[in-house]
Amino acid sequence: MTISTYLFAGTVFFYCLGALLSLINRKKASWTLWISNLAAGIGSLAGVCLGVRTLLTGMAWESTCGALLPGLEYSFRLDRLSGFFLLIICAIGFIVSIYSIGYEKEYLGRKSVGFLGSMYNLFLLSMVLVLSAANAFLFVVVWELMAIVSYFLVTFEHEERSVRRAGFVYIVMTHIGTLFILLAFFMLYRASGSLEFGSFKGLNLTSEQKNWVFLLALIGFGIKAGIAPLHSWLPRAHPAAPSNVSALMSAVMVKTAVYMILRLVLDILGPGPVWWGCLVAGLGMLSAFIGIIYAMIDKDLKRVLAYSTVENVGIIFIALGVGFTAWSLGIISVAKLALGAALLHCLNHAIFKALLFMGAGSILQATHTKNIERLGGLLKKMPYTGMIFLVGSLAISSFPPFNGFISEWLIFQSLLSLGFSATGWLKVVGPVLAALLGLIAALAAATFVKAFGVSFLALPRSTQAKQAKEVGKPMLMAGGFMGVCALLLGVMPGPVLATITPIFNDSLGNQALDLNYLSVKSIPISDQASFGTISPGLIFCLLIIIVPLVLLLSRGIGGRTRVTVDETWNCGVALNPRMEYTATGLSNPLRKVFATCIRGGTDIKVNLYDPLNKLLFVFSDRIRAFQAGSIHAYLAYILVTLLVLLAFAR
Amino acid sequence: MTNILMGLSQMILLLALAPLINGLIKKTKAFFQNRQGPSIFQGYYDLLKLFSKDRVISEHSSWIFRVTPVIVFASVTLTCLLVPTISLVTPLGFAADLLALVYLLGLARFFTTLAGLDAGSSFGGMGTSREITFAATIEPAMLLSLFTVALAAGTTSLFGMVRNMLVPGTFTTAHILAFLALYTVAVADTGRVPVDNPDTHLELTMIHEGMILEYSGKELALINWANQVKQLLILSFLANLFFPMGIAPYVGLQAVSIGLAVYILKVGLLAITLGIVETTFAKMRLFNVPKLLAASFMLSLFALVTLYVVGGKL
Repeated sequence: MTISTYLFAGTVFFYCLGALLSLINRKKASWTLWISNLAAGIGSLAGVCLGVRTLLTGMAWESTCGALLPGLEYSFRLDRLSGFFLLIICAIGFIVSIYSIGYEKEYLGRKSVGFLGSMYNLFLLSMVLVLSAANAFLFVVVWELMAIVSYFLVTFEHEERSVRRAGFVYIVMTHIGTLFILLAFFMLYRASGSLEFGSFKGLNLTSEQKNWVFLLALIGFGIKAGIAPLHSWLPRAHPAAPSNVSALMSAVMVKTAVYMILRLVLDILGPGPVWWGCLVAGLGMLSAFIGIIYAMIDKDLKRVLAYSTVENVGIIFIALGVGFTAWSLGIISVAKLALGAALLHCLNHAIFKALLFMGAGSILQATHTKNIERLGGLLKKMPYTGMIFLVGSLAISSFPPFNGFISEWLIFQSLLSLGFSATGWLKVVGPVLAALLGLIAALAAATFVKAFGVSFLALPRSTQAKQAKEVGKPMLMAGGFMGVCALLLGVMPGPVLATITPIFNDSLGNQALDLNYLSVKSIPISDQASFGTISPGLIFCLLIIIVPLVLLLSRGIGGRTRVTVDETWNCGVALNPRMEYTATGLSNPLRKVFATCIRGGTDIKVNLYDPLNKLLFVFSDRIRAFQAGSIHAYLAYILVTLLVLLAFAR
Repeated sequence: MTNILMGLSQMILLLALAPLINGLIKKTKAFFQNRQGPSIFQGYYDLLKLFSKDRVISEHSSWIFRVTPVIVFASVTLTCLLVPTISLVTPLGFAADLLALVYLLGLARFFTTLAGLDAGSSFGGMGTSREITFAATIEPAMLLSLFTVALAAGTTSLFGMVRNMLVPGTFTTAHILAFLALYTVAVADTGRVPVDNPDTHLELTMIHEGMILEYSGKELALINWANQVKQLLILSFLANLFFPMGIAPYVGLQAVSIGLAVYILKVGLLAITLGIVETTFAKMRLFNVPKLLAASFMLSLFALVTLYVVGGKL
């Protein structure tokens, strides 16, 4: 038993313990609240240690415990790649657990906190197991566990019709995804004769088989990641769940899909044809665009955040696509840069999205509404929550000195480097994608000007907003910690980047990126020193130095002046909240400019989902003939099935 | 030490020069409108006056309203340290590349738009709403034209790009197209006619003025000044990324004085063209502006394609 095994066992044990105790102790809800979240917190801490250990030592950890049937062993494996994602999930899980202590008070006496706590622990457990599964059978089992547990969490407030509907859409979509994943694994199993991931490596697949596996997996995992046009469940399901769970789903659950795609391409399939990467990048661009356009026009705060998750996953996919393309073309340095940027963006997005969802949860708890149009003036009532939400908004809009800027900068650089070093039409596509990424970043900034500005600034637009009070300490602590992380990663990304890049050493070779602690350097291209450099630490220090100088300057010129506090000038009429710009009004010019694109999003529904739905109904109608309602007929079906199976097995 | 001095003096130079350039634009407009117009130094008098005036702050606003002028001024000042103007030697050139600069200016814009919402008046909201719309449509055109120049130089470092342009024969058709695209964007980004009108406070036309309507006294002075510096920065981009000749390659009295003279001449000329554009064009309808910017984006795209086709690199 190594330390890693103990840590892994500890993680699993505490999550199970939390799940069990919460269920047993359902009656004493106020106790359960502490027990479930403490257990989840401790389990997550153990997971964080395990992730850090795996990342730093770089030693893969493997373990096999028992076999259900011959060939169906429960084998686990953690290497740098899964260690990194484990670190993200457990770190976010830890912080969100602290937040939950405050947030779940919302449900005391109203809903079963025990059930919530139990599912919450199981959800974390299932994600950890998804990352550590080293066997396709085990993987599918825990993947399904994750889907079902998250379904229960999504439908936790099932009294509302819209929530039940969201849950339904989610469970249907996620199972369609699982179907594709099963098919992909089945193809690999046929070729290797074993279900172990290890045996999938280095298979002698024809390029056609490889393409099929890739496409099936891309659809299957793409659904979980919320890639357009398969994202339709995400903006319904994520906001429907309790806010602490929304934070986990948006910040980390979608990343499990990113992890599996990376695992599949890096470890199992190897560099494919160029179109793989282009397809991934294209889908990423589509998702990013659709996600941010819809986030911009929505007025439900949590749905804005969910759509923004679609956008950010899209950005991650752009980076993945660039990485795969560059790998196929043999431009290893660009591939490493792009994949490193993708992983960094996974981490960054987890941090600021969890932060923003926690902020939205705090607003929900304080005002009982997530409709932005009914908020306003919250910065005065909830100063700390406001501060935290502002940091999140700055980070997600990728402004320096916060973390979103670093990963977005790296993605820009990888797109430009691809344009610089590739040949043919990719030379044009790379920079154009980079320019479109700029558009998406600007739209994200617009979205969060709306989300923060309308919710937190000016006058309250409803009595709930007027009576809002600052939330409890655990919730603020959790949010504050995330905010500090967002700043730290934005100022000193060097150490994190230095840990990320060795992840790809196994597949891409040992070439290191040129990094140091204060500055981030993009890769060297040909004989030039480097394609671009930034030094976020220096920028931050300079900002810190310049701000007091500006204050001094403003004090100095013209001497002291008097400050009068008075009403906002409103053409001589007293200002009331109904005169303020609403969220809808604010985004209306953008809605008009991008009207075609918004209609395009609706077209996806009409042209893709509706025909599929219709097909399904027609098909189901036909099948209904078999479902006669007579038990004799059903017994006959069983007999026939048995005979057919026996005939095959013989 | 000389490097740090160079950086500081460049910062002071840009801060000091900005109101003059703005005055020059106004004077040009006055000339074409057959007016005498205010003195070219009026910008300085206005700032001085504003700095010594009392302030009225809205009781509805929050701390965002108060920190915005400082953050805007600080990020614009920081940008002054990082761009090539009169000399290729700056101590902090490595700290930020093209993208970092764009995003630093974006940070200033983010806070301005928030401040527009903060006081709760519809004027501010209207300004913010239009500003975020144009900011989003400006971004791709601006980035693509800058990327064209960056790819031609093989680096996104501003100094690298300028250094590359100094090599004879690097100025191609692609650069002309990119320059035109970037010029269109610059008109929009500095908030000038035909996109925005810096001179009016009519709610039908204003964008930037709407957002800062609630500001007065020192805070208004800071914001106005920062805005003029930003305008000068954009002009410097246009001047030095495309026509860097004359820029001082090393620190020396003679080289720097030539650099300074040439730089002022270049931005002065560009400022005069801005004034001419402003007098010859009528303000556009709001929803036609995205079309203008889309045209600018297409122009940049042509620039990029030309770079490879004409450059024979495809």
